[in-house]
Amino acid sequence: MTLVLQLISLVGKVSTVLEDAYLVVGTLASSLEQDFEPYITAFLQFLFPALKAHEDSQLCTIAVGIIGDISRALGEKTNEYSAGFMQLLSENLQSNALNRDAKIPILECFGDIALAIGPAFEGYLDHTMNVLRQAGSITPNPVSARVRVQRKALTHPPL
Amino acid sequence: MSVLREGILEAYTGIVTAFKGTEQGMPSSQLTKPVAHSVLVRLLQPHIQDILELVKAALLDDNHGDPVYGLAYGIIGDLADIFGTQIKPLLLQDWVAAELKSRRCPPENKQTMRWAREVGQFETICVLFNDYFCLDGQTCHGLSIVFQFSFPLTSRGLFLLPYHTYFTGSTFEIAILLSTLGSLYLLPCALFVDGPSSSGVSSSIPLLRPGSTFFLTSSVQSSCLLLLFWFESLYQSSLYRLNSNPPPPLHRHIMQSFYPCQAVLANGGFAYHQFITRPFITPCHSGVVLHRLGCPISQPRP
Repeated sequence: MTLVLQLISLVGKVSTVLEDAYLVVGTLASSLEQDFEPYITAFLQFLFPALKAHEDSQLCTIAVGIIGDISRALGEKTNEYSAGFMQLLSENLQSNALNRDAKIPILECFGDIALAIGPAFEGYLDHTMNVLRQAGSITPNPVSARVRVQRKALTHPPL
Repeated sequence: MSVLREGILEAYTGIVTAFKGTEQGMPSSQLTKPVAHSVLVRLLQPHIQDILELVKAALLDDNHGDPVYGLAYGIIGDLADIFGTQIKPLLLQDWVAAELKSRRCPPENKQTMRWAREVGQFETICVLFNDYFCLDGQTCHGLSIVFQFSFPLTSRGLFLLPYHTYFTGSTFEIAILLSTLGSLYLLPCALFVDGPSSSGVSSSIPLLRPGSTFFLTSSVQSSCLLLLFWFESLYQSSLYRLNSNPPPPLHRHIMQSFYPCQAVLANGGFAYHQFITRPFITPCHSGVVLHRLGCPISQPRP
């Protein structure tokens, strides 16, 4: 873990290496589960900048995924960090710089956090539900639906 | 669009589960505070309408992939589990029933669907036959076949049985139910039911939950002949389509009794396909299923 953190701090903005390093952390969290906790504080100072890198949507998506991994790994203990997570995730959702596709994992991440902290999610409930309702009210535009049908016809010809 | 909906549904699933406070996966502190739990559930209540709106939108859109449908069914089940009769009017809307009955989907969704159906208004029986299965006069050994019958409470015929009497309680009661069904046509039924025992389960929680498919192993042929007849009738009807011969009268009769039902055939617990008796299954479906079961089927005679 120390090595990975050193790596992250050394590579600076070379994002391919960064991405892989973050993925390693995510996997570590998933496999260490509760034992991951000692590393969290050290890791968060690297994770938060990545989350704020709105112009690099790839990295941002990975960072969001890692929050999910950490939440699942820590379970209830996520509660201590969830306020920070939720704050940053909400900022990301509102950001204009961030790619729209990168916002979808954030919604899933809300679910992961809720699952991890259980009833303690109460404080974020109304806000989250508002966001989800807004997201849910988006309807596909008819043109793209038609294109999709055509594409489907091309790739899955009727037998 | 699919990805977006999947994301939203994931989030809803997480939140609903978080507030559900079931036995599994719940902080122990929660279990000791039932009052706090009911408060939490009440917090969720104003949002049900929104959640179901999205579920509906997702289910009615044919362009999504299976993960979306799976999540959507799961949410229906969870909500029904938490709120029970409180949101009955919402769950009894036509689209819910239609979706639960009609959708074709892969095994894992099937499980979720079954779950939704159970906690909702639908009934399910799963039966696994070991070592006895008769097709076309041949006996195939070592086949494991799961029949799943699901029918709405409004279905006609044999299965207008009171829900609470038979589908809750112990495996013993289910054994009685099955033997009752069997004895409508054939007599003394010796059933050996091997499944999770659920003594003490309250009436709102049916026995069959996801993962707890109960198995009925039977070397006694007569006990399950009714079900076999029915399957045979399906098979016959597919031959009928091929040959333009009417199925034998008995089969036709049984088919009519089961008219609103659907069944799933599976091998080793994995559902492969869904039969819908209405109006007739198509020959190729039947062929696919039987073939995948590894059962040597004789080609329908021209």
